[in-house]
Amino acid sequence: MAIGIGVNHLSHAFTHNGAPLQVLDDVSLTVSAGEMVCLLGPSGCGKSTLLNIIGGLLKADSGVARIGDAPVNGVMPQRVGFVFQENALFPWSTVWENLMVGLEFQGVPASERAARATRALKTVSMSDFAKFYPDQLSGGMKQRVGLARALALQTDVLLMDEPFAALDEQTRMILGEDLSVLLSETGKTIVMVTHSLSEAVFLSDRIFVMTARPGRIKAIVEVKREHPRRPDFMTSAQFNDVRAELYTLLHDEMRAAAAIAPA
Amino acid sequence: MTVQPLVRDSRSRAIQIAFFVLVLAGWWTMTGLHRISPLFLPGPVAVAQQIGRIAHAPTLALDIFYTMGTFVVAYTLAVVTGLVAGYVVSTRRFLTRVYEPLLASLYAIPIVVFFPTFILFFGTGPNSKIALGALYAFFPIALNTIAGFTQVDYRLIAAARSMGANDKQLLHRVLIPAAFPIVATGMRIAFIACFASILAGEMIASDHGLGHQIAQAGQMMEIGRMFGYVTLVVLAAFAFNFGVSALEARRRPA
Repeated sequence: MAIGIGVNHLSHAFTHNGAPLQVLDDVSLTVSAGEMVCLLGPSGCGKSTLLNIIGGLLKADSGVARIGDAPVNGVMPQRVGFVFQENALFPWSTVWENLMVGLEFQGVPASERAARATRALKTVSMSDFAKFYPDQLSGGMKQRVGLARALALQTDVLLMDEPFAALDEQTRMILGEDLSVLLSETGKTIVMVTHSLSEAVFLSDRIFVMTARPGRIKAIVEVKREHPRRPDFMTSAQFNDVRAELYTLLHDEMRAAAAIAPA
Repeated sequence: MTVQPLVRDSRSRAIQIAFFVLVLAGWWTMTGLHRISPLFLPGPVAVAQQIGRIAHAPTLALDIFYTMGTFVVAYTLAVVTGLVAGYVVSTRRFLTRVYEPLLASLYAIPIVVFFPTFILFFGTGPNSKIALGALYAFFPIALNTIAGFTQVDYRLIAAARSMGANDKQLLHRVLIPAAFPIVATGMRIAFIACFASILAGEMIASDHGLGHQIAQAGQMMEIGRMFGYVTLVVLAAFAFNFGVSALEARRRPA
């Protein structure tokens, strides 16, 4: 059921103050079916750009991204779901309506929508909040709803763009634990963008460490640990070793990114 | 979660009512103690008596119909043209870059200086006031429509697109609801500008209408009658504002 992702020699530049700004430089990577990977890198390294290109929201200057065997050529709502930062819920709609409208956009028959939305809300423990508006929810709850909206679409691939970036550390940890359980059950292929080292280690099978802009894949770090992962993983020697390795890899890039940040 | 707002609501409502009671009491006191000449400002009782007299005047219905009819036509014209123009300008970045500053600078013109011209073109009947009121209402509606549609959070658009929304769904389910609060604010500002400019137009040159009656009563030093009409206009404005607030509250229970 799950499908893999391939990225071949992808390059992309934006125009910044009239001058081209190279954000991705010849990036290639492969994600196996059912694998959970993180793109980790300093601010502005193009990791979100890469995610948007994989998801078809953005067209790359050169290179190809593939979902399964199909080259990406625009959004693929049947195969790829997105989870954005918390403010991507429609604020004028209730939690329930947010899920229902997503299913409507995807083209799910009206008769199936309610059952799917109910199930997705239950999966993220938000059933009691169906009638709430997003601004009545905490940041963590909004993210659960954002996740439910994507899960309801039943896509093989899930792309997550810093889904926990706006949350406090404790909320992130709880959501991370829940996500690890949930995702190991769904068997989806997942790419998540983050700049949290702990989050990357805790959730990923593999971590793609990116360089400062223009973004390239600097190293691939594997986390050999079964899913779902329990909180005690976070205090294990293995966790700390991987985290330390990532920190060493990332430190120079963070310095470099700080030096080249556009004014 | 919904208990607190109720308590807060009744308290703020009480303060609002107290404000109007205070204004009325101040008015009654100042005029009752003859601190202000009744020639300039008659007391509330005198004004109330005048309203009673106006209510029996055969011209009242005609004046109300005249002013409100002019208003409805002018405002409808402005809403339709303002929404269409604003939306079209918002759809292309180039059009926004060209026309938004242009409309904003035209909006800065005190259009009332052209009212004598409108009278020459359209006469002293309702058409000159329709032109004035519609122009005053057009700009805030068009400008807020542009602002509303161009400031939609790109994340909401990306989310909708990623879930498979087509152009029509994007417009109806994302762009319009996202732009609605800003567009509604424009329509509210426009309403006030439209109503005020039509009354001003009637005060300057007209044979009928509430504005005409206010100006005429003032010129003839019938100050009580003038304030009678003024009160009617104030009540009409309050009634509208109340209606709009009720509509807005029903749309979004927050």
